[in-house]
Amino acid sequence: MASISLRGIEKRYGGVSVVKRLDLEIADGEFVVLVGPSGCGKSTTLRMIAGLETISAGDLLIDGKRENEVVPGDRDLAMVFQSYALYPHMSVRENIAFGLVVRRLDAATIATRVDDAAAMLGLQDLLDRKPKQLSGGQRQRVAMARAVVRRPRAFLFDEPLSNLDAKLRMEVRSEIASLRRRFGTTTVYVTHDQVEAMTLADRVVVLQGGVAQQVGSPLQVYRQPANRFVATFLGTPTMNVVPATVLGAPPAGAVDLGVRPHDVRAADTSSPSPDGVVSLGAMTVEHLERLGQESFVFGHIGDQRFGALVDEDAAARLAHGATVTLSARADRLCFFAAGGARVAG
Amino acid sequence: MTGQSTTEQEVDLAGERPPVVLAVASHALLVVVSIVVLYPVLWVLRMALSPSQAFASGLSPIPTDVTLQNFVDVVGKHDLQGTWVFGHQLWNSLVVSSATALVGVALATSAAYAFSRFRFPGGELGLKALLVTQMFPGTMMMIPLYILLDELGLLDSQLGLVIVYATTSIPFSTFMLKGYFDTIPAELEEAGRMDGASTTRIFFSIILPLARPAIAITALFSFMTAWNEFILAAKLMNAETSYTLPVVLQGYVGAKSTAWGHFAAGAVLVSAPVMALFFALQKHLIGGLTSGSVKG
Repeated sequence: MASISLRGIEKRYGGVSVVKRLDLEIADGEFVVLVGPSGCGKSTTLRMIAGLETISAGDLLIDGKRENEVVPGDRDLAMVFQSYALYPHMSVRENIAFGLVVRRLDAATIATRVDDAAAMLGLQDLLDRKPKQLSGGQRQRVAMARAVVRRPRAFLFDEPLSNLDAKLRMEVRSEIASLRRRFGTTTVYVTHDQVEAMTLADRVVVLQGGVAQQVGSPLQVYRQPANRFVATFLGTPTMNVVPATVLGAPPAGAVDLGVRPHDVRAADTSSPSPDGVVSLGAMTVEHLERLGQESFVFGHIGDQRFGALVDEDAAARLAHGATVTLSARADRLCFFAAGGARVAG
Repeated sequence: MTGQSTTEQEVDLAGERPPVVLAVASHALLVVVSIVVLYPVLWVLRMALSPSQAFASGLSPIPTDVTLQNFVDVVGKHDLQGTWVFGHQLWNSLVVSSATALVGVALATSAAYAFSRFRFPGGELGLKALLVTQMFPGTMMMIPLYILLDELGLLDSQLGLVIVYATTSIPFSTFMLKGYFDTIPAELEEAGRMDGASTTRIFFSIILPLARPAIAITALFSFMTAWNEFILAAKLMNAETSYTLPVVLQGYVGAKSTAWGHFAAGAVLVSAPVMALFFALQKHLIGGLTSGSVKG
């Protein structure tokens, strides 16, 4: 296992910076998820840690030792690729064993470790098959076995679930979580899927435009977003953000008010707001989403679009054009200054 | 439900069939093209199997009298010292062509891999320079090549011929292999690098096994380049026992008379090893070798 430090890491292609002075300390055994939209620099950062991309500026330290110029094979890190990257002409067994064969381990050790890794990921019956004879989920499990068998200092995952369907994605996600529990190996995981970020991470790094917008626990980035980008990137449906004027207590004046749809209640009957709950006004229902376990209504208050949670009984009664009143807990409101930074409420 | 979907399938399949007129026309065209391609080959076979050395006239490619005498004469030819000339010439062709294929493939694969995967000063220019060499006719190179081989003492030697043939086949082979290497996903090499493999190990253990079809084609191309070449072999080789088979074939075409029967029998014999090589390499000419490696 290893600690990984990124100190002022930069990546430039010609004159374009795709990662800008990134600082990040990953503790030994920690599971860190880099999350952000396409082109935010998360995969580039992972590939710089792996050694597959050169580092334009800054220092990469693994276990306190600068490894900017160390070739990937000597960094002792294992990577699971989005596209699986299995060797198509080799059997599953040969794929898993390749890293050990290259490192000249003896045949008995290789056989034992391959069998262990295969058993761990349920691949025992597939060892003699070629990758093209496997399903997408099986291929990704082989890619994970290839990483696990090496017993590396850290795992690097580059959007490993992106090519899988929803059901498989959940299965493989729990396998990654159980591998993590079993080995406690330092892991850096790249995804654009916030569910993966929230469910797997010890800490989440939200990136945009090559800059870390916020580093914190999943709950922290969800509940206390550092800025408007983090607030709107994480969470489905997207956080409601509307211009508002706060009177009296800070942050007094013109701000943007943010509140997650999960924290807004829509009611089709009027009742007085209890303490600590603020009324947001009346909204005409334009769209109703019934997801089974919960339902959301969407519409406009003035020219501002809002989404709100609605209880199942009310959802059954509501129709397009109905009027609902929205209210939210005051302690769940976020305020953003003109530049997008969050200000204390 | 099952019956209904079967009916739908049948209807769909019937819908995919081309109209009868179009099918007849396309088959007729294919028959005509096949005749155009096969007729000269059958005609050469007719001359090879005919007892006469005269140029066969008439449209029919089917011989009236059949004999293998032309083949016996060509294969059994001995010189005044009793040396089996055809054996020497066949051996020369095999050695020169095999060595050309071996040297050509070895150098072209490594060059093509470098052009495909590495960025280095002059890389792009080098690739263009290779292409430019293909634009000059081979005969233009004859005099400089003759002088070079003479200086190196390699005239009338198999090694000299191999060097000349390999240098002419490598540019095209490099181009072809580079195109193929470009299609092999880079992630496979990155996975290899993460597994600790060196560039050499990745080349031999991952890339080459996946490039088998392209290597087979390149080897066949290099072999055929050497096997069929006549002009350089005729100028650079002096002794009759040093000749390759195309030079021997030309020998049957005289200024005043031509032994067409021997020429045709020789042509059939010369084409046989190339066909055999094609069938031997055919099993490697398969697609989809990288399927299953990466998603997409």
